Amino acid sequence: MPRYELALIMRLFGREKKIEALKDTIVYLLNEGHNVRNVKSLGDRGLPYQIKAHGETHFKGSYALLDIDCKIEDMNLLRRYFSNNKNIIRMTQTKYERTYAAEEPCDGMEDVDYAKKLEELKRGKLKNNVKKQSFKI
Amino acid sequence: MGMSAACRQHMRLKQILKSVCFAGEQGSIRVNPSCLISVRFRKPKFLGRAPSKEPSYFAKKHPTEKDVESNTALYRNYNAILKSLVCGFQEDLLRKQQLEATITSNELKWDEEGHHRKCMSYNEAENEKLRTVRMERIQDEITARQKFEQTKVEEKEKEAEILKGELRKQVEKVIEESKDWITLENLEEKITEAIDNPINFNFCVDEKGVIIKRTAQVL
Repeated sequence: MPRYELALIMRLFGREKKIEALKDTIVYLLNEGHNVRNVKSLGDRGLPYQIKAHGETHFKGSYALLDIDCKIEDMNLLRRYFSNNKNIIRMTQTKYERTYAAEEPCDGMEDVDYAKKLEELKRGKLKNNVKKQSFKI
Repeated sequence: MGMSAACRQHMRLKQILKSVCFAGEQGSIRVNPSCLISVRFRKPKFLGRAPSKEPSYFAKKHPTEKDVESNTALYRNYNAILKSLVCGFQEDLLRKQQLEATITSNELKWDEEGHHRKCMSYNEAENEKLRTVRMERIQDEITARQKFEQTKVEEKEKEAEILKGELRKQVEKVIEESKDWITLENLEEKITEAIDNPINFNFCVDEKGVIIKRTAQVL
């Protein structure tokens, strides 16, 4: 099962109702047979643009991240569930490995011997090799 | 006037000739050498443009596929006829040689059976030599192939073992991580923890990765 990260934008609720809404989604996921690794909340925020969902326009919402293992075949079902869930405004899923990919170690900048390069330029070795670049405007 | 270009040219030439020549005896023309000037008139237009002036005139004409086919057929036919002729001459030659040989064979008494036996023994010896060489070569090939296959199998086994080890490590890692996963029992605790401590990514970072400034999340 590949690892996904689901970013949820939920309707703005109070603390207890927010817990209930998250609970419903996680219980659904667990009952379907998916693994839920972790839950994170990014707090309540103003949306970057107004979003229409379930016949209402939303300007604010509470953000949450779910770290899950899910079958690729069940992804469509899951998406349909989140679109039908009235507590959730929007859901986006990304592959975990892509977002949290380990960066390659960097060796730093290479030292350039500018004196040598200047001499070469003076001799005209580099002048002939350098191609004229044409920029389109 | 309704006069063609060629005709006009002819008339002009006649006029010039009249001025240059005069009639001498019957049926002959005498030329006044004092009036003779070397003139080269224009080529008549009806002759058209010279074919050698076109660039395609000197282009090399390569043989097409049809030409090659027809030429090969011709070549084979010619060769077959030539061979048949040669065979005919050869037959005549052989017949002559046989006639001469019969005369000599009666004198020498050629041992046909002994010669045949000798040839066969030589043939068998040569065959056996070649057979041994071939068998050695085949055996070498078989051993080399077996070795190659064995090495392949060993490499595959090694790769499989390495992969198995990696997978085992991954599984062990996942099993260790699974202790912190969310279950139906610790669901409420995890959710309340997450909601009470929201993560804020509104900060800026130094070159070394140290957080310099942080702004609070405001609704």
